[in-house]
Amino acid sequence: MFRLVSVFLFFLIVAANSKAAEQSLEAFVQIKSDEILTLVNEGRAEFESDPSVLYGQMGAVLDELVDFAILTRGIMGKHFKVAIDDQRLAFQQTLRNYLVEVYTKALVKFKSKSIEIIPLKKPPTNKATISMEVTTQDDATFLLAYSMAKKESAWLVRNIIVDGINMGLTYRSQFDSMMISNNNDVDTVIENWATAADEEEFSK
Amino acid sequence: MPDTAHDFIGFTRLIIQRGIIAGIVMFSVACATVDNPDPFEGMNRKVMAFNDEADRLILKPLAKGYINITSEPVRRSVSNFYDNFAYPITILNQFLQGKVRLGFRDLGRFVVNTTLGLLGFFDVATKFGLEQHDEDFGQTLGVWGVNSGAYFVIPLWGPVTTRSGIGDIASFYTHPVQFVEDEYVRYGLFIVWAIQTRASLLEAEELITGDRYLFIRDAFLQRREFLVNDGVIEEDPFLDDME
Repeated sequence: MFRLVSVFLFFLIVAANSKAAEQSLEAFVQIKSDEILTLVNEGRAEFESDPSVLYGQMGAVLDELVDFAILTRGIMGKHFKVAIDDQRLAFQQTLRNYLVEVYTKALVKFKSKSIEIIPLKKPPTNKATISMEVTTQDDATFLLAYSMAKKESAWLVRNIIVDGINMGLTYRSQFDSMMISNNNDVDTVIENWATAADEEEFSK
Repeated sequence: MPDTAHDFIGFTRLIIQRGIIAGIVMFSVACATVDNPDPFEGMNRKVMAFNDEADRLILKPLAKGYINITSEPVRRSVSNFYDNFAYPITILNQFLQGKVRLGFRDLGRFVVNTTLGLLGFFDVATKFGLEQHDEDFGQTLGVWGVNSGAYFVIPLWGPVTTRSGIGDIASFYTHPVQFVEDEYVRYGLFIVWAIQTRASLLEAEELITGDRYLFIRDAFLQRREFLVNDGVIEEDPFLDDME
């Protein structure tokens, strides 16, 4: 009985995987996810003593995968319009470093075992939210979703939703509240954001 | 726990009765709609400061101690036990939401884990393909079209919305722990549950950044909506207004 069930499950998994391979976006996300997982798993031991190596590697991967420019716009929200170009660029840089660190730290901490992409119902045109079930090493599962859009024929991630928690929206409301408590001074908010990232690093 | 067939019928009847009463009460009470999800932010921040202090002094040290004296598999079993113990609430709400097939599947899951899984300490049902669901009365109200209402931080309990809070009250009255006769056992079960739930949040908590109050509020509100939609994310509103 058990064997029958596992053989059945095996075919299910194979079927699901081959289905993903047909559609390029799912396959692309799967490849990138595996690449990142491997990177984190190999770098985990060294991360304790010297996190900068893994940050560097993850940064390189994410720079090609994440649309930090649009994320900057989305998180600054209504304050993007009033900011000048220098401020926008400064925030983009701060945000990029911050997200690379937070994302790396989260992956190091929550040891994931497998990532199973949920196939899209219909082939994407130029935008898609793609969900995947992540299983951690202690067999907990959670749902991760990437909002993606095509930019010059490459798919880029523009937001991430962790078990229903929309990080883009959460950060936008953080930015807005920092603006209110700092008399709408964009420079101070960017500075505070960078310090918050450093403190994070410090408390680790 | 009931130990005879007669008790079991009485137990089931009570659950159904209380479930129906809870359903009617919820349906009639929840009608509030608020544009701003957090109109009581000032008060809520004060309550959260109080909760955080109580947590720092009592619950967090207990949770850390619990992690020190238990191994990962033990904690997983304890967590499995509580999930299974409360599972009749999920089953009941599947039916209340009209998801009959899932209701029966979850009933099957509960039976399998209570028997083969030794009172739920082992999650064998997932291995049989009967995966876990998470439904409660607050979600049922959401499925019925009731708005989530206002956000509140309740002393010694934490975040709720009007809707989820009414759901929590309904869950309190229908929770199987109510049918545990011995009150010391009942309190003991509650205390261990509180400690293990807190312990399970210790790691995730380290990822909270920026304004802690806002982070928890936004995360809570978004997660509740996500649960009402059964984890289906169709569109991401984040960048919709950008283009």
